[in-house]
Amino acid sequence: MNNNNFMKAMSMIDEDLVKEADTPYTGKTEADDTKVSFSEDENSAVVSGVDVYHRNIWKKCLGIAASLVIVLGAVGGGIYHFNKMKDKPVVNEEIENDYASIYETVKENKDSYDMNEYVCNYSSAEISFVREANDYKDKLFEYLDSIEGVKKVEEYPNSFRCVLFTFSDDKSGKKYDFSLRENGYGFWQETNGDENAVMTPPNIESYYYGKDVFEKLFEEALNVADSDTVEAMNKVSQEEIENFVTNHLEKCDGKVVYYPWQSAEECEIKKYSITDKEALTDALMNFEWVKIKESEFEYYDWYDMGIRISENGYLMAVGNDPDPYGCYKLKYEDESEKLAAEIRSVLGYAVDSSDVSSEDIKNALQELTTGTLAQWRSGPDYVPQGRENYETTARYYTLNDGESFINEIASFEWVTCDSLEIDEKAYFYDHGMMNLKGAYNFGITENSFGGTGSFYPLGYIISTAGRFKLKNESDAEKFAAIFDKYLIMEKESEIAEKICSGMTNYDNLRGHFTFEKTYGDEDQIIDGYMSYDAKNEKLYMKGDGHLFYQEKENTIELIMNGHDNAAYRTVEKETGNIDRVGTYRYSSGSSIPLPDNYAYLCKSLEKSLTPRGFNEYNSAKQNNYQITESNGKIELYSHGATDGFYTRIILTERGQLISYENIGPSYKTIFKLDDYEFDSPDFTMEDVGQLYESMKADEEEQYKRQME
Amino acid sequence: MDDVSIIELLQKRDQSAINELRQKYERLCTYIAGNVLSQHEDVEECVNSACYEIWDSIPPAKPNDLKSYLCSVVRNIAINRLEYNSAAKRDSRYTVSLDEISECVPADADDNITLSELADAISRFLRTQDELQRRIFVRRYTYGDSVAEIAKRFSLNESTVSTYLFRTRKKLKVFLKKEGYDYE
Repeated sequence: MNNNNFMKAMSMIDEDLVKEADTPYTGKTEADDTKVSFSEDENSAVVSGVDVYHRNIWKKCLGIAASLVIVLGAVGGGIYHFNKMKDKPVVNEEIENDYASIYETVKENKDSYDMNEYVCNYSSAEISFVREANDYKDKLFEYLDSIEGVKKVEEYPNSFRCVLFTFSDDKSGKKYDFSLRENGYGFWQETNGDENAVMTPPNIESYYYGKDVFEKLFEEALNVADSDTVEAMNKVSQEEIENFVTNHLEKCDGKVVYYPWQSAEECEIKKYSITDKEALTDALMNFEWVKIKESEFEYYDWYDMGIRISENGYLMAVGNDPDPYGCYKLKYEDESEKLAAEIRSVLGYAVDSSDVSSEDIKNALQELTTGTLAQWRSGPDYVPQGRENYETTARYYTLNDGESFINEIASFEWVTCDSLEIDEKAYFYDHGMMNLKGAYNFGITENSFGGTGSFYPLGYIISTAGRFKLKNESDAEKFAAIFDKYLIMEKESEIAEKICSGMTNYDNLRGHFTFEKTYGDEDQIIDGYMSYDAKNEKLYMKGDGHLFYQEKENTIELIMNGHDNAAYRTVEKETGNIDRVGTYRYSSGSSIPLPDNYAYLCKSLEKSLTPRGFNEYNSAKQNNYQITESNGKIELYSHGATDGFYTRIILTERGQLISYENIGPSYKTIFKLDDYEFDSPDFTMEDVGQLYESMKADEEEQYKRQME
Repeated sequence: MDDVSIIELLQKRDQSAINELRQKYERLCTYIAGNVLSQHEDVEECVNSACYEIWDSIPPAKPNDLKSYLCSVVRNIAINRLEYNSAAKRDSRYTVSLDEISECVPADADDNITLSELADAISRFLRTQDELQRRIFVRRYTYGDSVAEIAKRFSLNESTVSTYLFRTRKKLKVFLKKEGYDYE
């Protein structure tokens, strides 16, 4: 039968029953008066896991369980009304063995009691009998006695699950129970047959045992329980999550602290605010959760916001005595991305925006004057082990007409801004690495750029007077255009731009090359031919010579298989053996210098003209290149400090490198391209992709041999 | 107008009976249908249909309690509508989770069970129960009240209501098994 038909049957029950349910109820429903009556049908075993022949005991124990719930209701205002509880328990004293506590009374007379064990999950109203546990009595008390630091308390916060032990002596009529909660709190109470009585001291004693104690006893109980009980105990209902989240979010002040995985520095921690608590609660309720132990919580990109929730799907209460207590994880791990997105969707920035006047903006930027140096930077914002990252770009400008520049900036509407927002909007992550979308850093301070202000064309300003953002995002395009209007690019940056665009603004190149490098006593020389598919960034260079630290003559191949994807191989002419082989990137570090190919040489020239760091920039400026153009070529020439030392770069009009000479006291680099042809209609080249794979395989083979 | 008078009008085929019925019970019907259906248009249509079903069924039906009779009719229509919409199990407005009741649902095929016989069995079971727990059960599964609403009505806390429902469901299952209904 389907569930809907059953519901229809429910709507067809006798009219008088329907009517009765709609009339006022005059019976007593207060916890201390309610008599929970059970079916008099002796054959009804009402809870899974019950042995039918123990039904009499079970009936009474159900009463205890019911009164347990009711007691919890009375004391705590109900599982679902946690805010009525005090937040912290009143810790009285360590247990002393100097008076007949309920615990001591039960322990002393334990042989005369029948003990039964139950597990309870109040969130789904599940109370399950586990076993008759007389054989376990001694072990239980022995364990409880061994626990250190048990503290007596007067009140305790709520939690959803518990392990319950009942003790009953039919002869004397004495009845007790011990309930240990998920949050480590437990109580002993004397019921003496009145299952529905609300226990008050001295008939109830409450202690803090520890969450680990609960976990141990709970696990032991579940190990002997049937699978239905195990499932029922671990089940986390929507109501449980709703109550858990609602109660904690209500108490929190809306502030969120985000701890990225492995964050060690204070500056790595981020602060937000919750924009919509209800939406977050609803979102969390839509996932399925399972109960876990606190020790199983995985700290990975987590947020503290009244609750602690991690982007990989873990949720728990925070604080010493959270009310209610709970610790969960997503039932389905593959929903963690969705969970992370839901969390982020309700996060706002911690700092509220307020309007900033035009005057305030002008004051913040008043140090910007005509001639101020500005650095544009974009790309990866980290320094790899080797050289500067291939994608990192720097360009230099001087500001023209500072006053007008400031006035135009101030003519937009601005508001204050959280630094976190700028970090998040101005940067992006690529393969886990931080990349700057682009910013102009004006002025210099303490040997670094940006002393007077940083401007992000997206619409943000960081100045010494504060952080600002455009009030209207639609002004961003106009804002970005102001920089083109007032910034004049330095000549070296113009050349760097030319070299950069010259790497891919044509179709192909082939020619003869020589490439010589000397550093100290070591040198490399290659003499050969190259083919370059510029649009696809595929390069093949092959020649005879040797690299640094090679004594013998080699046939050397240098290739690029797409953007910043290089490989090389040298084969000794005499033996035919591979001497060196490897795959690498522009900024790869290596104990033995990796050979520059044509593309990497061009890139290094671009970066030498526009280095990112301040000291390198100052040093590069000293080159003071003289730039001349003739016969369709551009020549940059810089005379060294001493006669005989110089740098000369020759480019085509469109920025392609023809020749490079850099002669210094202990170093020399000379690259020359001759007998060359650009954009040949019958251009062909080797299958660089295949060669790359071949070199890669040789590299792996060589590595294996080295490891043996 | 009292229920007896409305029934008299219905038996006389006086169409003002519908207006009187609406005036008195439209809100209740909307509430009951709203516990099942999420779309306002569906709720309205359901209430309209219920009124006309009352018109069609009385006479010959002579309900002792018009209100209860009407509630049953409305609820049935709403459930039928829900089935039609094929949105029952994920409709958050359906305050009674079908999973909650599933343990009581016999495994027999639908064509082996008549709803009226099952309803009769459920009625007999409920009469054997404690009054409070019976009322709670009917409020939940006939009226479709939420646990929170039931708790408020009877001045109980929600966990107690949940416990009572849990126990009654278990007992109902045992009862229906003895009545000969199959469970897997």
